Amino acid sequence: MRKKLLLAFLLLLSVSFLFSGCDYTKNEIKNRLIVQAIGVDATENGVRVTLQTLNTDMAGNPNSGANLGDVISSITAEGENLSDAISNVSKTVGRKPLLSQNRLIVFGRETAEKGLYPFLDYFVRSTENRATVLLALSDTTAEEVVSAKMGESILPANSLEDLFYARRFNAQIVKEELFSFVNRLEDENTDAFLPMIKAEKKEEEGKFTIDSVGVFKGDALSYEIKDDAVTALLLLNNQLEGGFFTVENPEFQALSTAQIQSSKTKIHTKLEKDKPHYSVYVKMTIDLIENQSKMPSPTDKSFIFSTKSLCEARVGKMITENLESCFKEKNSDPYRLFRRLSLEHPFYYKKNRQDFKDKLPEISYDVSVEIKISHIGNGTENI
Amino acid sequence: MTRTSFIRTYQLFCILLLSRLLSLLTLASIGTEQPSSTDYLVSVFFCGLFILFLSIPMLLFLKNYPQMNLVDVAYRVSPIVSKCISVLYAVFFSYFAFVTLSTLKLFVATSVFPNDESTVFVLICLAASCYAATLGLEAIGRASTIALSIFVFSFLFIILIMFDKVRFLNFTPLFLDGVAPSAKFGLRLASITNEIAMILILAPRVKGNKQKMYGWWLFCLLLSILIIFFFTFGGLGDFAVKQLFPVYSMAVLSEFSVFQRFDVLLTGIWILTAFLKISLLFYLQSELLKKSFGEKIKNQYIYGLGVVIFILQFMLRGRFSNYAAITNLTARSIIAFVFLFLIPLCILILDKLKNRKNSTEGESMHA
Repeated sequence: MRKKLLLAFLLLLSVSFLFSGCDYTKNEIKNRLIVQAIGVDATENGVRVTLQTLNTDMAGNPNSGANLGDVISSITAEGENLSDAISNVSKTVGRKPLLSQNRLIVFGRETAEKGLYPFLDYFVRSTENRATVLLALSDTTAEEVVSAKMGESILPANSLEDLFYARRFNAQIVKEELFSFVNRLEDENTDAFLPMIKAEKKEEEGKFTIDSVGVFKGDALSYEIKDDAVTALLLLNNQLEGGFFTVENPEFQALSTAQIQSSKTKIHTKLEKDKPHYSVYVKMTIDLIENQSKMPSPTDKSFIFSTKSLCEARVGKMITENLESCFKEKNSDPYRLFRRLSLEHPFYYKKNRQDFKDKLPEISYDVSVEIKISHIGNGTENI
Repeated sequence: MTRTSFIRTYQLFCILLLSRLLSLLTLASIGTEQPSSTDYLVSVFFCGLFILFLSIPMLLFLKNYPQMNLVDVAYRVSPIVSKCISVLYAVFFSYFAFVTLSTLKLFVATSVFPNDESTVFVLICLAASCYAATLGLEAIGRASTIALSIFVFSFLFIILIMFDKVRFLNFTPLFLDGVAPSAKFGLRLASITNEIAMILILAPRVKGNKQKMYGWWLFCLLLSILIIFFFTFGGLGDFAVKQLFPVYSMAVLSEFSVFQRFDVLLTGIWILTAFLKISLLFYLQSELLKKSFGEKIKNQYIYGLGVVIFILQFMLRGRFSNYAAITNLTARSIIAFVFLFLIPLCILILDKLKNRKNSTEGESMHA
């Protein structure tokens, strides 16, 4: 019994020496470079990395009263590849970057145009980096976005992250995580996409907007889409969470704004004369939140049904136009439609997987939209 | 005189399921051909077929010799054969203890402490496993029952969170590159099922219907693999196979509200399960050697193996290619076939032949 007690005591004692947290490796939080965002720009000789890091002196002593600087700081370093550039950061600041808290990876436009594969491996392989980290493109260079400051106590990476989550109430914002982007890149007939961030400087302080979406061919940025095309992209990928759109009702001389409450897209594939045909069905619930008209509050049944039809036509047109543009003009499929085909018609897929892109202009489709108006402001509900 | 301890079938069920689920969690994508995501689900079917095939001699043993283990039956054939079998299976279990610890070390060194030396961790894990092994089968059985409950509860939690993250488009067409990759992966899954050998050794120490227990074990195992693969590949898609430990990556994805690090939960369970499996393997090799060669110093085989494995781990340190060698499909398949199928079948046939010869001699003498 005494032996057991002694053993238990020794084990407990060893815990205090062996499991003493960060101090054991002399990696106290204040000595780490906590990375919040990483910017990647290709250079002639390799890569330039910009790290947006937390000012741990400030974070550790927020009420000290001393001037400890902004809550974030940015550091830039160059190297032959990403790991080399990131390790070169230590030469400048004498601290080791901690990537596990990273929220965002931004690639510069030129870098994306050259191709992203060489810069993705590090993030896929690194055990510190999370598979769910957000990815984005910069309208100019990644350095410009990552090094932008938004005020003494504002975390730009936090604000950028919030921007992506605004897609819950904006139908023109896409959010893409590392694992999902890599899956799209790996899919031989799907074109991946990333949101494009625009950084503007106003009196030393930055302002970000997500202006458009960059669509890739292979791993290189190919073209940009905006506004309705982004909504169509979200609809066809069944990722639309919310947002607004406007329809004009000439019969009632009204301009109505609809707020999307929920949306679900179902796509069925069939083969017609050995050519793929897609049937897109969108089921949406909206609220009519504004009716700008010359008549006083047109809320009678005929107006509501007419607006409902106009909304359905608007969404249908949005999808049709963009499918047409992607398949026939851009020869691109960012909607993973071929993946659907592969799952529903595996034999056709196996036969045509090599030259599917050539068959894109031959694809036919039909779009049907069913919209349910849930509320019309403070008026009649649950129609 | 030493008291022989017994466990119940549900305890053996827990020990075996936990041990086998650990092999699944630590399934690393090193140097192996990877099927496409849906084919992983189909490979579970192939895995079941291969396991059933490998289990035939073990099931015959359970039917014909319910109160004897493989070494006892081998003794009926010849005492020398019995000693050889003891040594061979002791080496077999020691090898798997080494593989389990190596995989755990690889995981710890890449995912938990990537920047630090993991030798201390290995040492602590080995010391704890040796101590647990000296406590005997009953203690391991009790601990496994508790550990399996924690395992199931935490996995259910992770899976619940993963429900809305599964995407239909993350799956691929069935048999995209033919049936071979699925079948090969099924074989790979079956080849790490050394639990069949554990049943062959532990059977006489278990009270209850062992065949029924085995049936439930196989069913629960295949169902668990299927569910884990479904959520791993449905959630992560092809990205999963790019990760060293795909199942662990699935836990990384399961974020819920302010709870962002469920992978830590999995890490804890993983280490607990590995500790129990290594203890069991240590115990088995010790029991086998004790039975055939006796024991001069108490627990000499357990602590001896602990030292040998620690030295081997030390020699393997920093040599990544060696891990690929221990996960080689051909080598593992041959080992599984020899130890789970061929040797037990040979012992069974030899015993039957000897019985027949004895009865023929007896009849002729009687005549």
